[in-house]
Amino acid sequence: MNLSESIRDEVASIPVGPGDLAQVQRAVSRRRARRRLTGVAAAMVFITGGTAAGVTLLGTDDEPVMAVDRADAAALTVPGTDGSVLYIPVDDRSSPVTLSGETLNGGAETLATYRGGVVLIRYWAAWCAPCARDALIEMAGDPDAGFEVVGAVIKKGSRLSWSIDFAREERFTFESIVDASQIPFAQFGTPDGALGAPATVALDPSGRVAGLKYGQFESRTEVRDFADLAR
Amino acid sequence: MVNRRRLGTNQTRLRQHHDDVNASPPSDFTGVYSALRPRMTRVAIVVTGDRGRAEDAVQTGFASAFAAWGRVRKADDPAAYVRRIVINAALSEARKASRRHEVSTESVDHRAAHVGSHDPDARADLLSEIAKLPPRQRAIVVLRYYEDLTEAQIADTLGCRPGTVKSQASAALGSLRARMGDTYQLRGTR
Repeated sequence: MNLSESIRDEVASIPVGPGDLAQVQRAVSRRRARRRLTGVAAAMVFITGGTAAGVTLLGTDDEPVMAVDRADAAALTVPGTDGSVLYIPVDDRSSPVTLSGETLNGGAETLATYRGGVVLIRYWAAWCAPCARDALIEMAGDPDAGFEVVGAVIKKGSRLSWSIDFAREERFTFESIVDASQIPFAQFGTPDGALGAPATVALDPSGRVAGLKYGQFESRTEVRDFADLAR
Repeated sequence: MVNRRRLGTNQTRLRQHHDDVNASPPSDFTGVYSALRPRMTRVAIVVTGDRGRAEDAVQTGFASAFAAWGRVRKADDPAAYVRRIVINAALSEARKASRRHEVSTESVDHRAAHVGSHDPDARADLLSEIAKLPPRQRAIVVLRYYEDLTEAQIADTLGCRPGTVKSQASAALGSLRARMGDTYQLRGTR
């Protein structure tokens, strides 16, 4: 018997107990519950950091937290969403965000290149397990997605090499700028690292912040809906 | 200003998603689950070197597939989707463990499972030796020889280049042959 056949036989002989489908279902609900809590915590940080004009927060532990402008609050009691989404109405958007700097790959990146289309900025860190892979990461680089993704790495609490490894191991297809403190959260009065990660900012075609989302994206539909806020 | 009509549509869509997730699993999901779970569990045990972490990775894989089943069932190959998530979850568990300098205790468990194979000790050692490889090499070995995937399929699953799969696979086999010495070096070249 040769080595490859032995490997096959050995692995095949590892005993495996019976599966429990109910456990999978419980895992799905647990993940959702956990994500909701993270969303609430992140939203609290946001509120204490200063609330944008015309914005209100909706939600309890059981119902999702969503921040929307008051005029649309009534239309937006959405069950089943995780995390919190902040929407900034066109009239309340501040001036275009500027962000440029060195990328993890050693190149240079500037947001100015992306003006004219929707850009989603993913705020991530190497110590953040939920930053690894979600629907947004999967959609990044898809030419049909209708938006571009740019990463912003949180430097605090991590070495540059860890971030480089993380991006490579998790197959990030987008460029990440190595200084998250520059990113648009500053305009909400939150310093680098004060927000939970992952967080995502939507920039409209003029480069102004149109939306902010805490936590992972559950589905591609959720990503598309979020990007639509900036159209 | 937000267009109310569009938000209304989103609301319906999200509610639909919510209902999908809380309903009992569709029969085709149950089928994929029963067919794939044992294999996926073995793959994850080899990659993580730990049964508990492997079960977690498998659960993560199926939970993700379940949560996104509408999309996954339309994919060309639902098995490939689940496998990709399981493998990547298992790899990230394995890397976390190696950062904490944890050592696998799984080999003891393996040994118990080898009653009946012709050379239990040597063969249990093979799994222990695989457990000493770097996490990605373990993944490549198990995907190549147990799951019978091609280099291209492995590259796709792991998100690396086929050339990397080739070189890592030969590095892994090289280490195993060197460590298993007597068992495979002399009579293992067929």
